[in-house]
Amino acid sequence: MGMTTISRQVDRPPPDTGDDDLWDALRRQEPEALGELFTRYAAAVHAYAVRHTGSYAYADDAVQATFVTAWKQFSRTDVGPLQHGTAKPWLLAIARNELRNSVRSRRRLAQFLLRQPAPLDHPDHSEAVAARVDSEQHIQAVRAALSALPAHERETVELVYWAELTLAEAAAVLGVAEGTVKARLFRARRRLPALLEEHR
Amino acid sequence: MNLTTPPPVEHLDPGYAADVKHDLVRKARKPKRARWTPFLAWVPIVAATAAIAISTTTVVTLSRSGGGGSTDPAGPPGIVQVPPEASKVEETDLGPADEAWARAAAEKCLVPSTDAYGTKSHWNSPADAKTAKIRSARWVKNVVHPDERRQLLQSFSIVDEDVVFQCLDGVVLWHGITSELDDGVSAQEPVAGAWSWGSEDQGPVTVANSDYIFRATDDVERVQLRIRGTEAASPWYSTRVSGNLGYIAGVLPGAQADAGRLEVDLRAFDKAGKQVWSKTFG
Repeated sequence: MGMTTISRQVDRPPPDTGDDDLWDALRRQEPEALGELFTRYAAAVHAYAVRHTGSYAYADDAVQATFVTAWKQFSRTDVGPLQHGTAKPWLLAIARNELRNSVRSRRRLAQFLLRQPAPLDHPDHSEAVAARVDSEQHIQAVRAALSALPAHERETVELVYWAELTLAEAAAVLGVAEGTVKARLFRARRRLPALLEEHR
Repeated sequence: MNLTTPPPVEHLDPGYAADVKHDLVRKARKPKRARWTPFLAWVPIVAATAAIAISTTTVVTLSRSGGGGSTDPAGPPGIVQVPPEASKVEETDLGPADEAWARAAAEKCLVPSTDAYGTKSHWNSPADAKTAKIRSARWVKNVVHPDERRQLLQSFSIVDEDVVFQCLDGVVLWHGITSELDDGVSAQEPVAGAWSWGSEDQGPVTVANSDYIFRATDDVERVQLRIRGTEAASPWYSTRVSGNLGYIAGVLPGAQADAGRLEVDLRAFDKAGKQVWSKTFG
């Protein structure tokens, strides 16, 4: 499979800037703080969504929906103090729910599109689109190998290894104990050599 | 291929990111009652609204004047507030299913399927159903499609792997390790789970639906779900918790599952009938 060179995204906040001040501003419902939250974590949410779905189109939608929902949570209620010193796990938890909620509507959309006539325009063959297609193929191949894991282990691998969350942060996203995250990783890693063998 | 290394991802398009950020901040500056709609969806919504506005204005006006229950008829549409005790309770549990049904459904549940992203659902095989330990199996009403037959809600364990599956009519709702069943639940938070919602056109009516897949402590006997929209609220749909796992669905005809237009209430009762938990999503 042809792979285009792809640069790794920086998906962490600037090293000397914590999220505490930003979080306080969000709790005060300052709109500019939402923009800053987006600047810091849009890439992380996007990367998580791309790896979770294998689709850039779905991921683009998920990024927007995640930040809209995040703001709504601050607008509706006091979400309490920042946990773990970073807003990233909190945002990924929202993204995870947005992706789950969108599955059913996506199925209906897919069924609708199947009934439509073919588009008149030819697809765009620009370099950017080609790179995305290559990237999607690569991610889908990786996900195919990972798909032999039970969903809860797969999700744990995505959050800890791919989204680079700590065990405590991943536990917060998944709503389970930290020990459970460890156990899932242990089980997943035990199965991974066999999985790699299968997909070699 | 190294599965523990993040697959590389293309940058979020800078132009798109700037547009989204600008749009987010602009909308955040608006008064709180402004309704959120993804901006990419505006064009078809505006077009559709323009097309149907004239034909529906009269109908909408008449239905509002009929006292649909909105708390703020003079202002922008709001979600109705209905006291919990004012809604009827509709039981969805239809009693236990026998083991033959449960084992056949377990086998169907273990057939690998592919989700909307093209990912296989799990790695067990249908043959595991033969040795699975059935934890619970009950018939439940199909509230989303009431014309269709009852559904089989069950949970079972794959003994060798210590994995628990929860399935509805042969479709996996949840699966995890047995020891995870009580993760995230406690006396203070006796129910934990995941909710979702959607809308479906059923003939001329759009019907909003919502479901909740959950785990619960031993004390919880019933969990109920209610949907509130801008015009009306559904009854409380009630289910029995069996083997610390449960699933409840509800519908609200004439409503659309959109943020700001729908909320989902959940509550749980213990064996003595005392309410021990409640939450609202949406």
